[in-house]
Amino acid sequence: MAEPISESRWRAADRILDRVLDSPAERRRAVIAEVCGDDEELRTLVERLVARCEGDDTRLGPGGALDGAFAAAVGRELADGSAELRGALVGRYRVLRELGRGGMAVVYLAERADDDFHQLVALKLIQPGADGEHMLERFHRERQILALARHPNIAQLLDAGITADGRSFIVMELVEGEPVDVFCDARRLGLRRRLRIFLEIARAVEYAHRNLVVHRDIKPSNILVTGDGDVKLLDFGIAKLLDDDAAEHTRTHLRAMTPAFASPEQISGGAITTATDIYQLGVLLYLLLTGCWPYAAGSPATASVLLAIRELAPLRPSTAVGGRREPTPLPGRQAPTAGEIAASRSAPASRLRRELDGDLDTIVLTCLRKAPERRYPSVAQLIVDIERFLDGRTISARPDTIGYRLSTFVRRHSAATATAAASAVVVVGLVGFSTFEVGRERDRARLEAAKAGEVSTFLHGLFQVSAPNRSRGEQVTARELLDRGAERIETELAGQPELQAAMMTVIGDTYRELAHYDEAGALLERAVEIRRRHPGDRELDLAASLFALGRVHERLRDTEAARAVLEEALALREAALGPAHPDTARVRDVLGLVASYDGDLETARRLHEEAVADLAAALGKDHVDYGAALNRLAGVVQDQREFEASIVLFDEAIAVLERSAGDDHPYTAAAKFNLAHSLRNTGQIERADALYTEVLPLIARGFGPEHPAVGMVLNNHSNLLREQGRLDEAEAKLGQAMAIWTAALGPDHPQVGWIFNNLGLIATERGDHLAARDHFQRSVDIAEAAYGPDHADVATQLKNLGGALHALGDSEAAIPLMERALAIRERVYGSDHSYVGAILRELAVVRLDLGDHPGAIADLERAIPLGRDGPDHRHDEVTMPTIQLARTLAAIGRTGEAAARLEAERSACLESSRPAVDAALAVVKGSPSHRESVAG
Amino acid sequence: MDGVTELLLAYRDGDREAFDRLVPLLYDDLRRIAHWQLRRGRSSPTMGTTVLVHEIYLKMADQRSLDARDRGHFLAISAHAMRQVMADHARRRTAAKRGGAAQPVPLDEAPEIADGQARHLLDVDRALSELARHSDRMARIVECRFFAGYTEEETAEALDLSLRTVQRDWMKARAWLREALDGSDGRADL
Repeated sequence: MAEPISESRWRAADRILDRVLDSPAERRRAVIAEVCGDDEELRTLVERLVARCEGDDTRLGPGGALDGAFAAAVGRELADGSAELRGALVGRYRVLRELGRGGMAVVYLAERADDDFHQLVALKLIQPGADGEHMLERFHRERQILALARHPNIAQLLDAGITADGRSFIVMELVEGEPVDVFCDARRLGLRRRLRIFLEIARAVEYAHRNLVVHRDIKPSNILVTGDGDVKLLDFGIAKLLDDDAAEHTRTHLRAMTPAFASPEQISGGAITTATDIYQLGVLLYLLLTGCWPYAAGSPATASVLLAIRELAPLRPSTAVGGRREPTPLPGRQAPTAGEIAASRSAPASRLRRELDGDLDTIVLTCLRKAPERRYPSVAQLIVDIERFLDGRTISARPDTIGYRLSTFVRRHSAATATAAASAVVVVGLVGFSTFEVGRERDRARLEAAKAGEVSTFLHGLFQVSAPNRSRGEQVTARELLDRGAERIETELAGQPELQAAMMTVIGDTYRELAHYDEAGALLERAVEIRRRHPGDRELDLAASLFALGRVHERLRDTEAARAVLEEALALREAALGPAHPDTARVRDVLGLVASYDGDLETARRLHEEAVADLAAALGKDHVDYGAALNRLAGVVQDQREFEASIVLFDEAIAVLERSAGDDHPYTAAAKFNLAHSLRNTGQIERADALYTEVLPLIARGFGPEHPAVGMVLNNHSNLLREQGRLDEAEAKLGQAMAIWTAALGPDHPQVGWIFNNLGLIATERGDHLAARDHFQRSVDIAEAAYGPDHADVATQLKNLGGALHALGDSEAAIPLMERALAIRERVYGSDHSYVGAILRELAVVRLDLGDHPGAIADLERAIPLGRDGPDHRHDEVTMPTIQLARTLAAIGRTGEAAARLEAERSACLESSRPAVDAALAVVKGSPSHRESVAG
Repeated sequence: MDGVTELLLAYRDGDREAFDRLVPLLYDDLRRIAHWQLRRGRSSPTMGTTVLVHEIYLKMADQRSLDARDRGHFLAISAHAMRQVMADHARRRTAAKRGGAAQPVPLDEAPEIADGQARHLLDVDRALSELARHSDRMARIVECRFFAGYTEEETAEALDLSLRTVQRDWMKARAWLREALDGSDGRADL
């Protein structure tokens, strides 16, 4: 930049500039000469300024600050809210500014807000919207790992926690330094100095390995060198414990892969072991020694990078720096020239090549072997070899032979080792949710035998679209990602039915998680169809697709279809896995839900009880799946109106879920929501009211504001409010629930029918029986269309419709409806169930209005023995019907019977009911027929 | 938003300090609304500044009756805030790259290009501060045109200037900026 200009100079030049610009173009030169006189400097300044005015500079164009990659990056930063965090408190830390960001987390500079030392720390916060369950798991793992690792070369974990809005964070020692490669290049360190620094890194990794931790994201930006020259290893973000159970070894964790440093087995979804770190140390050593990436990839595109890692042999480091070929840059970086490489190592290219040729080539290439078991057996051995090299002694590693390389190449191509489920899990991770247990293991196992390269290319193609430059700075929603995936299955995986079916199952199941049931159903049906058409498929794959499809039917309350596919899935899994396997138990769990929708509560309870027991035995009582199953069992117990028992179960479910999933996890919120219903039914109205209010935002955040679950909270809260007489509030909540359910489930869904029913109840409370009738009619129509004419829901709604007609004076029309309701309940619940008694009592009232005394008497005679005894029920269900019966008997002259029934009830009834019975007795005894019979 | 309105009215009544106090308040609003807009996938890659600014303005106008002059002031202040937003980000970005307190910096798309743009923006910001010592008016015009992407007409409205003055000063301001950025050997850029 030029020197600042003096004020007087500026003024003079600007004034002249104006004059010149006011002159016609052809006069300008003359004007300048005239005005500037012999001030040569002023003249050249003005001439330059005029030339600049006449020219055009795009760098300073209108809106120039808002174009291009940097502005887009600012936009993204603003968009994900991280900029807003400045000054905010996270736990005990105040965020000062952003330091950097990765795929899933942002790292901030922060300070302790609660002490006087203002200790500066690095605070790593999980990205908003990325808080899937797996992410949380990952962060918990990171906590555990960092607490475990105490080493001077590993950045220290200081704290960890969850923010008020539910994001996880960890707090690390603040490391001020440069990435190790930058550090070395800036100081033009020679190879031996670089090797010594590398040894420090390797020793830290070796320490982690001894503590059973694999880092698996070793790369320069994770290794900083401080001003004092201390090496610090950062970011155990995707580190992994080695003593995790066996399943852990094959299950791939969600992670933002750093493609350039990924090992072949990370790409193919193979087991992650210490050999993975050895490979990554190899890439790092390669970079430090040569300034290059080991492979001559076709392009820096992710797919091309991954392909190179899997398929290409690394160039010998000595060849890379030899100057005989273009150096290959780290993907995404600019290619260094051979001269730059040499200069930053303070050695001419020829000497670099000589130093690398031989032992160093062998050491690096041994780290980089494709097959993990062919690398150094441990980091310790790698360290020993480098130390030997530095001491001028013979190293232990031996170069690969040509024959070996050829044979492995052939082997790789005949039986691909890769699996796609690894990447498939990444799909789910990216879109930020997680409960994706469905056949994941199965799908992976299946895909192991498939052409995984194409699957990973497929998936990576998907994510490429979500990369900011491809989507032009716009946010890509989970939904869009899935839509793209679904489209591409057809085109890009054409001719590979196994892969198509597997991906359809994955994406279909994900659609279900997001409550896009139509899309889910369509994809899953195709997956099932494909898997049926291709026998020889493993049956468990079919079971996985069937199970996923069954869950969609279950959500849509299509009980018949759900049961058909779920029972098939159950049979397949029982045969292949055994009856108590958790995957089998999960099918039973969902079948239990289906049974409960059909009103078969006993079957439902049995299925849930089995599922709960099996899951507890297989997964332990701290597992989220156990908690979720317990919640469903409690739901059936609640449906059976055993509210006290259900409260005990819900409390247990909530405790399990809080332990396993966290306070504000949607599952926990759902269990609390269910508990509220039981509380309401045991008269604990205030607690229930408070719980609904607490749970609504949690559910909306956890499931999304348009998810059907949100409608359920609103609906049930509305019922509670209605019972308290808060009718306007109740109606408003129903309106919201209606909008959500209609959009998510369609206008003909039985749950929408229940909203009409509940609107009818509100109208009834207001005495608006016409409106009530219309609402109830809609609810009956919807329930009949969905379930057929004989469903328990239809009975309840028919009864309500009958009640409305009765209130409107149309008792004759009410009778057949109530009789139908009665017949349905007799069939569903049995003829001696208290629900049957409830309809009989209402029916008797309607018959009396029509003067049908014998009919009413017959109904009441049946209803009274079905009424439940006990303080909550006897008055309404036994005493009042008895009074009703006695008055009806008296009305047709059977006063003696009437009096006898009342006398008997008088001694059996509750104390509080006695005045009512006495009053009835007085009426019956005072009636004309009674007096006559006494007189006579 | 209350404070903003009051400060804006104070600024209209000639309180120059109100301007300086307005900018940080607006800065937050710009960020918040930019955030909201981008979340909804509404924005173009260029942040859609004018849209942002109008949104904020409309929100304010809703609450208080603001006349046309207020709107002008508002546009001017927003442009200044936008300059600060961009320069702040650029400063952080270049600081991070220099390794001020380096933690991992992500590989994002076309990082080299974005880095170059960030540095350029900082250079312009500095040159603009220098230019403001000589001509506050020119500096404000550059804020409106370059940093906020306003049209010439909007710029004239924002700064209560004639269209001709805006055109002339914009031309001269750019010449002065290039002079500062490139010095005497900057002809290659013309």
